[in-house]
Amino acid sequence: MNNSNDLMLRIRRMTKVFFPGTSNEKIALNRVNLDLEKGEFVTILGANGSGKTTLFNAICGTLELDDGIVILDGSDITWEKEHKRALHISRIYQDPQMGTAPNLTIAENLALAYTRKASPSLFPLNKKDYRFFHEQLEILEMDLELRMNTKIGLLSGGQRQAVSLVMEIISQPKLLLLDEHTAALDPQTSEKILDVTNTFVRNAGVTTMMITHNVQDALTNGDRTIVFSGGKIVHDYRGAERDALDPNDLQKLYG
Amino acid sequence: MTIAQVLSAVQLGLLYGILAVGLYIPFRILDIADMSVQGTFTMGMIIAAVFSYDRMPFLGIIVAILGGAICGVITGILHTKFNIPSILSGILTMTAIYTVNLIIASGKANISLIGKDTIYTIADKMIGNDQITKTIVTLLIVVLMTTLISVFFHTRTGLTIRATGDNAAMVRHTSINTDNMKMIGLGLGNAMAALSGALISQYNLFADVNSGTGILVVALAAIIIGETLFRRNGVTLGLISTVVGSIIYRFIIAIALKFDVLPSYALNLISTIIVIIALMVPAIKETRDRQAKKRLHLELANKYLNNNNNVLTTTDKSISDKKNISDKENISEKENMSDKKNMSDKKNISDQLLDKKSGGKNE
Repeated sequence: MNNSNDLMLRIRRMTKVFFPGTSNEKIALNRVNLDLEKGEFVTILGANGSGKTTLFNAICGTLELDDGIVILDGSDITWEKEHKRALHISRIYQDPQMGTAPNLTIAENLALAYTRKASPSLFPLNKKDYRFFHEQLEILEMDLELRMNTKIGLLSGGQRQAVSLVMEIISQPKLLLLDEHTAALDPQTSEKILDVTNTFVRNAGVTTMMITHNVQDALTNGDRTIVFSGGKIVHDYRGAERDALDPNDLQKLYG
Repeated sequence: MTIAQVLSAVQLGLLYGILAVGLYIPFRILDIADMSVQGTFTMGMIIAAVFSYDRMPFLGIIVAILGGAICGVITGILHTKFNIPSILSGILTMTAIYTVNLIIASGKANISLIGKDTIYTIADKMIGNDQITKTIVTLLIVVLMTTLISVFFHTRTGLTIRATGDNAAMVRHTSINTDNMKMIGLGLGNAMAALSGALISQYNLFADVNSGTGILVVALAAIIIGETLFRRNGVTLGLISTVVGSIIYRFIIAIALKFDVLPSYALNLISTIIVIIALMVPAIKETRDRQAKKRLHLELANKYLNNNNNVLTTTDKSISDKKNISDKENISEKENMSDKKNMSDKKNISDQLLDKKSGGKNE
């Protein structure tokens, strides 16, 4: 059905068992197979402990797999080191503290994220890059472009998350992983960040996976929804089937 | 204090300021307490002394810097590649360096450079005044090094090193090897420590394998004094305040020794006490601020409570007064209940209101 050249991510037999051989043994990922097309925006639902975050950790290389293969854009990254894969994989966490360096300014944080893609220069904050960062921050409409020399630590959680988003986007990843990145924010900020996420993802056409616990968000954003349970993908909705879904029915999957 | 004493304090402050900068890089920028600085400081002394003894003072300083950098990288490898805790890695390198130093000094515990050429004696031949030479040469080196380090920390690599100390996980996510950044930082720090040692051995015309003892506290004192006076704010200011802190520390020591508070061999005790006091300042300040705030708050709260009680009692009175009045009104109303005119008036009013609402439908 799909030409394998059009696939950004291919996961086969992905398996991870925590504390094997003990009474606490937990199969976090149970022979998971998953294909993502280029530019696809997939939302992921699932109860706590169903394997969503483990999936992300395995893709990023934070966690070593017990079995399985991860192929990103045609190259096998299963055993590649975390910082090497990070060149192509961006990730935003639930905790706004994790994605930014608090004692560096907004501009410096952006420069850091841009290091691998910027044209080589001795100093990271040259005029050209600075103007580029300014443009990107303007898209947020949060007036952050006026505070580029402010230390990130002084920003609110929502603002930090917005900067993280810009950082991940300007690093031009092949795969963007959003791990409940709006969960720690208030409803309005959360909506704003989701809006911006959609804008950026559509503009950049980046393949994206977003974990969320908000069923409504999962169905209104992106173009495919996966449901995890017990370390397995139990549902995979897309197209017309997905449009016909009632959030309340999906909510029952949690029960 | 005489001018000579002041100059001597400034010179020593600057010389040990380089060491303090060497500790500042791992300690404050990378957030690693690097003990190997103590070893590389002595190593710098010994290397520079050995080379100066063979009439190569300039080469001695350069080799000392390289030696320090290599030792720093070794600490970094132990810490990052073999997952040995940073403190332990530093202690291991520091201890190993002790033997290496003895090997460099061909088994001798100390080297005297009296009568030998050093960068100071060479510069003195041009300037002619011993004290001025020592001050100017040291000052020039310190200014040059702090400028270079400050510029370095504003380059891409420098920025990454700063970010590694701030949020290593995030740096890894931007596809940068944090291990390498830590090694560069540790190498740079230890190179500075070795430079400090090299200059001090040429300044004192003497090097001893045991002169590293207690040196960490001296460097720490400079960093803490600098921070207490100037706060932590950016890398350039941090470096400058560390050097200034080192000079201030020398003045404190000079004064403490001058007034014979303690004998001269009590230097390490004095240093430690200075560091402890400087470290205690923020905590003491916080407690004092809190108590001042508490006192002020209690005062205000008491005032507020007292006023409020008055308000409460007055409103109570007024409420009860009103109650009395309304009671009286009620009574009078009851008395007037039989008064039909009153009733009809009320009715009229309500009728009028109704008329207005219904738009005069009754008419």
